[in-house]
Amino acid sequence: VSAADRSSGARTQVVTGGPLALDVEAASDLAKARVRLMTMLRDAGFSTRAQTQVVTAASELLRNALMYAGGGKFEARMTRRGVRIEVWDEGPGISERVMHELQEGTYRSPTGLGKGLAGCKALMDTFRMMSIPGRTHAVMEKNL
Amino acid sequence: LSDQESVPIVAIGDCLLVSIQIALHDELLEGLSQSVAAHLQSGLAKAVAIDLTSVGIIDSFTTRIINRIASMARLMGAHTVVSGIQPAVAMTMVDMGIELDGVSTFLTVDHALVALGLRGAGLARSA
Repeated sequence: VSAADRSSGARTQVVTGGPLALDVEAASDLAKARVRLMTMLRDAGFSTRAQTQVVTAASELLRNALMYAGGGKFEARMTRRGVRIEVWDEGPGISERVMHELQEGTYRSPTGLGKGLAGCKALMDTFRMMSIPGRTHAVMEKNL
Repeated sequence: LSDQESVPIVAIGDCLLVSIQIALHDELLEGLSQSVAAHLQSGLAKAVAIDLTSVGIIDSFTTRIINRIASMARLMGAHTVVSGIQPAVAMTMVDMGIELDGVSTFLTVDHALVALGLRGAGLARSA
């Protein structure tokens, strides 16, 4: 994302059905990503409830990337079935044990990581996360 | 998004009304906790009313901040009420299993202010 794109502001961005890609490096990028994703989902015909579910799930992933990896890459694209959201970061990663507990919904952390990621699973139709030190990749989908 | 952004806090009687109108991000929320604490320290407020009518997304982070403001206010002798949670937001919070702890919730800010004894005729007028 170029400096020019950053300064153009969320409102002037026209989403024409192409993928939405953003580097999220600060909290303000997260706010921007949420606004643009909401517009994209509304234009694609998602219900208000589904829009809210998807944007909330994306917000959780991006928040984690910001908190634990100092930022990440965000991409949202329409597929034949609905929307696919992907987030990459280069942080320390999530251990296998924690990942298992997250999947089971039994993980508890003082920072609320568990609630956020378990929430993604509950809000989306599919949710997968792969993590090794230096590379964490989450993919989730919501059908129209 | 600029550094000038902030969340306005208005004192009505002995209540602090915090009306969140803009897309919240972390720094704003952190700043908000501190502003509420500073207002409470002045000793004039007995309650904090947080209106979320304009908030389209409440994730686990936002919930934690609201819970933190409520805990802090409680320790400083004030209670917190929350109003205006939109239907889609409420459903999403239930889906995720996240809750606001120890705060009373109201459908609208009018209902909240009436419950705090600050408005009598407001409901009838705005209904």
